[in-house]
Amino acid sequence: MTRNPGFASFGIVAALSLLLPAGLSAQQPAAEEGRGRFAAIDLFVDSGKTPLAAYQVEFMATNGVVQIAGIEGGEAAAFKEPPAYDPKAMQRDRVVLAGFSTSKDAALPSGIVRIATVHIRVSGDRAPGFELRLHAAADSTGRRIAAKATYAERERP
Amino acid sequence: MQLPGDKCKEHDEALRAPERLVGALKRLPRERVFVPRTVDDAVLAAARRQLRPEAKSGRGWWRLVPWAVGGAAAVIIGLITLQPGRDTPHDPVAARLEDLNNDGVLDVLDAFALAREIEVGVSRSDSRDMNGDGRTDRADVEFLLAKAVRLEKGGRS
Repeated sequence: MTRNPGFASFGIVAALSLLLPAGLSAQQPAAEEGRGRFAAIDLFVDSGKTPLAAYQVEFMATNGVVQIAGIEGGEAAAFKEPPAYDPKAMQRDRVVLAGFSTSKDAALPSGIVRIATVHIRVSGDRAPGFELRLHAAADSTGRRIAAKATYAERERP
Repeated sequence: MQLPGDKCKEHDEALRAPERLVGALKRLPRERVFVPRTVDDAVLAAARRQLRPEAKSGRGWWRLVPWAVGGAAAVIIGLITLQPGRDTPHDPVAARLEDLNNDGVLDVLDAFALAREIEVGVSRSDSRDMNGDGRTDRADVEFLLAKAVRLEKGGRS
């Protein structure tokens, strides 16, 4: 049995490294158990009078047990497609979203623009809290503009 | 204070061999048993062969190979599993090339700048080939965008 101890140790380590991530994923919040509720959080960027051509925001849960379940595009045609995000954000509570449009000013939205909707799953009794940070916003020339990011939980029908 | 050693010594002194055994031992023949020199040499040679370190014969090094393979495999599996460096590729040259608008930050505005360059057809230089596929196209924009939204250290979950 101990003729090739190196292979034996390799086998043990390989087995452990396969089991470790499985064990970690088994410690996910209780949302996996089927309890909890779904909610949709609309994200907005207010660009004032300037047509919004590009944005990058960071959305995160600050309270409660929250898991991001899906990302949806915005309302305006320029941002209808789902924004770019890291797939690793799914099942977590933080995501960075980015989108842009190379359309002309006339086709770009301005004012309060719904850029995306984040679908979440909330577990536990604690009311969730959220934070939305604006990383960047730009006009059609790529110049940074002053803008404000806000969010609102969509009311359930 | 009595130490355990003292107790053992007293115990040893209390031991007495039976008189018959002592007498029999005293009656044993006192002359030395003759062992021929050839037998002596043969026993000595056999002992040397048995006790010779295997490293000198060259076979010892090969016995370490399974251990080395196992150890290397363990390190590789550990690196892949734990992924310590996957989220922190900091190549200063690459970072400088990716920061198209020279604001010191890689974000959506760099991807937006490249998309605009490609759209008007001014960007065909090798320095804009972000993903290293030999072309400057929409895939490079997607590459930058993916980097901009990457979660460096993962969420809080």
